[in-house]
Amino acid sequence: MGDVREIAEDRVSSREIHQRRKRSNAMIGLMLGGFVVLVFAISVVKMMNGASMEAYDHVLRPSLLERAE
Amino acid sequence: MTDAALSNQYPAADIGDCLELLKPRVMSLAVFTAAVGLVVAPVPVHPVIAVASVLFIALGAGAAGALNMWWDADIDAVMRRTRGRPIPAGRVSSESALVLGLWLAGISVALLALTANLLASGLLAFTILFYTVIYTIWLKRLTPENIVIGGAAGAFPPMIGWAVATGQIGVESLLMFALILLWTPPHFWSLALITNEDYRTAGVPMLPVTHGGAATRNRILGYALATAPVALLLAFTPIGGPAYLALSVGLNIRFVTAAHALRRHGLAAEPKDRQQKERDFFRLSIAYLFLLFLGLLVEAALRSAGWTVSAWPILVGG
Repeated sequence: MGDVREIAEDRVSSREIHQRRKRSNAMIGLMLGGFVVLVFAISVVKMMNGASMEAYDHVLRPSLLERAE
Repeated sequence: MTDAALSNQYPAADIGDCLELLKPRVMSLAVFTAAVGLVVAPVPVHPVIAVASVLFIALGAGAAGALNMWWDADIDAVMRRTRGRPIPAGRVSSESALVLGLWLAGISVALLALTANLLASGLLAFTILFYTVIYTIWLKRLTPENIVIGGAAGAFPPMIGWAVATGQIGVESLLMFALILLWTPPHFWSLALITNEDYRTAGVPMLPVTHGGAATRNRILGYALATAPVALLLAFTPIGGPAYLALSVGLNIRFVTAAHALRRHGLAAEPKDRQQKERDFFRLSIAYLFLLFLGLLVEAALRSAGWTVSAWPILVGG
């Protein structure tokens, strides 16, 4: 009888944990989505304000070229 | 093995507990003062950059909160006020708090550097380091002056906000820093008077524990008197003005008289009445700082609307 009750309680707490995880995962998903939107918005604003868009490696960087006399 | 068995050690941890680790109340003060520092600065900031910067400052403050909870879990478990926090309550492991704090610290500092500038980012990194290492790990358990020095950590956010906008440290941002630095001891000691027994049990050398209630009330009055001139001086900087001055005069009279009343009351009243006075002073101190910074925001709004007094004396800054 005690075993049956333990199994039932275990199932209930398993369900609770699943629900809680689902809620947490949804919140984390929303936060990550918000973060992506934020980084995108920052990038757009920075580019509109004329921030440097040179990459660091494997490309020609105009700012490192010697100035023509 | 079932999920319940797997999650047996910390069965109740959820996203709310992680947010609680970030000390949302402390974070709200950092967010508000940083936002004011950013808005009142003379250099306009794009709204997206401003919102993102304040968010990263908030994340940095949250990181410091999580690292504080990680280190102070043993103290929190003893104190009534803090024993319901996620770590002592057994909902989150202290290792999780450490990992969360370190990640958030790294992310917030790096992203503030990319979003704003290196000065703002460096100040944020220093703030997190100061709060965690200097205050939490070193001073808190060592000296009754812990909050006097450690209060600097809470004073940095308006300076960071100012640095986001200007890329510099100005006299105005130093005065905002000094205002919070001097305000912190009376604010915190009034709380320490209320939770004195808790601190004694936990073995934390807060001023009421080491020097008693009377000495603490004297120091509260002293710091309230020291805070007032700084708050008033801000009126005569480019970010101040007549509206802020009027508000500041009223608030400082109230703050100093309340500190004086607390000192006088503490000598005679019953312990129960004393606690009420201490609670009232604690609440007043929160309102005092909030309204002063709100006053600076009002001045910024008036300036942007063109309502300025041309003959207003500027004594420092600018």
